[in-house]
Amino acid sequence: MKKRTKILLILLGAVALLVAGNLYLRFRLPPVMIRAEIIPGLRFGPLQVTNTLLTALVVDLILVAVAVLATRRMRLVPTGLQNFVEWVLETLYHLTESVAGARWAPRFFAIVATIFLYVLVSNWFGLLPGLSAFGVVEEHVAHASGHHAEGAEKLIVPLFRSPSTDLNNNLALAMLSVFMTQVFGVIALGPRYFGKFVNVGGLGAALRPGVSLRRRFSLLAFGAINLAVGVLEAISEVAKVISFSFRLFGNIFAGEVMLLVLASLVPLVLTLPFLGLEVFVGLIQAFIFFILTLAFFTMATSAHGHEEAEH
Amino acid sequence: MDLSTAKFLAAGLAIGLGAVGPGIGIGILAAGALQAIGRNPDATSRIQTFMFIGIAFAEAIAIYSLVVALILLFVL
Repeated sequence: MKKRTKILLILLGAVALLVAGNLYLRFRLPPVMIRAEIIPGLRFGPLQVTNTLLTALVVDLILVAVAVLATRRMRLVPTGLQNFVEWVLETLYHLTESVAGARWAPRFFAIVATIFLYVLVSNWFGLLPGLSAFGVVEEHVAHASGHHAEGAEKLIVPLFRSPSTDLNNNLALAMLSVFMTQVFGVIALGPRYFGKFVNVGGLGAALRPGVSLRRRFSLLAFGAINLAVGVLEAISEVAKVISFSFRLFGNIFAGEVMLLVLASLVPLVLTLPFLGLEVFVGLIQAFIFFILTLAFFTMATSAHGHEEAEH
Repeated sequence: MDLSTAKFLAAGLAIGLGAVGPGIGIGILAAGALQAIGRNPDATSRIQTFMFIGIAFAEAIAIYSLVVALILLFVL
């Protein structure tokens, strides 16, 4: 077949899909839920199970199953699944080593690689086509707010939804990451690590006897600046939690909403390239969570020598 | 202007204006990284890593405004 006829056939197919989708696959945009839906009927005492929690458990099961299957019959020369898992882990380990150095890489690796794999699988899990069709039908009482108020209607509460589209999940990961940053900082530098936040060294130097008055003033000024910088460092630790969690949530949630809107505008044809884009975004977001956590760990464990060099 | 009109307008403005700065920032970042790779192709992988970190920081600002827009549209 000639190249030109091939392209023509592909174009014709796309147009046919476009027409068929527009004729038969139109649907009204369902309301966008920012909060994870609670699965009705699945309840353990006071604990209500949301669909993101259920999916997080499924993602965990997938990761555990792959790990067990890959290591069940280990061979020196790996084949198949073992080979693939080894390739993934070795790539991650080399990356970890290139950022953190050979000394700290073994200690960081377990946490950062777990974060990467978990975020990656949960990002991609939400992209499985048809996933949100599995659900429990619920009689929906009309929204009080605004434009969706159209009386009682039936809605599907999906059983599965990517954990990354639930802010709670991302907040938990971000808090784990920032907390472990402090832990590694203390392991590496001891109590000296907290000197980053409460920096009174400059003020102490200003109060030392035997310093000229002018020098005392300048030391005092620098000490005050250092103190303010310490406060800023403490604030930036809190800001890390916010930006970590909202970055992942915003990217993945916005991606899914975009796919939904595109599917309601132009069914079948337009969604496919954007699905590919979302696969890429899911990988990039997992990578960014991984590399930022790693970078913060590395920054916390390396002593900031320039402060000693100043005086 | 009633409340829902104001809400839509605010959401559109929030993401539209909020995307300007990060767009410029990511452009500058990518330009710098490409220049660096052009000068020193051997350091490509390291430069890429740092470029992604920088892009993540720049992009976070856009994500904040996206979250604000989503909250305006669907929560408030």
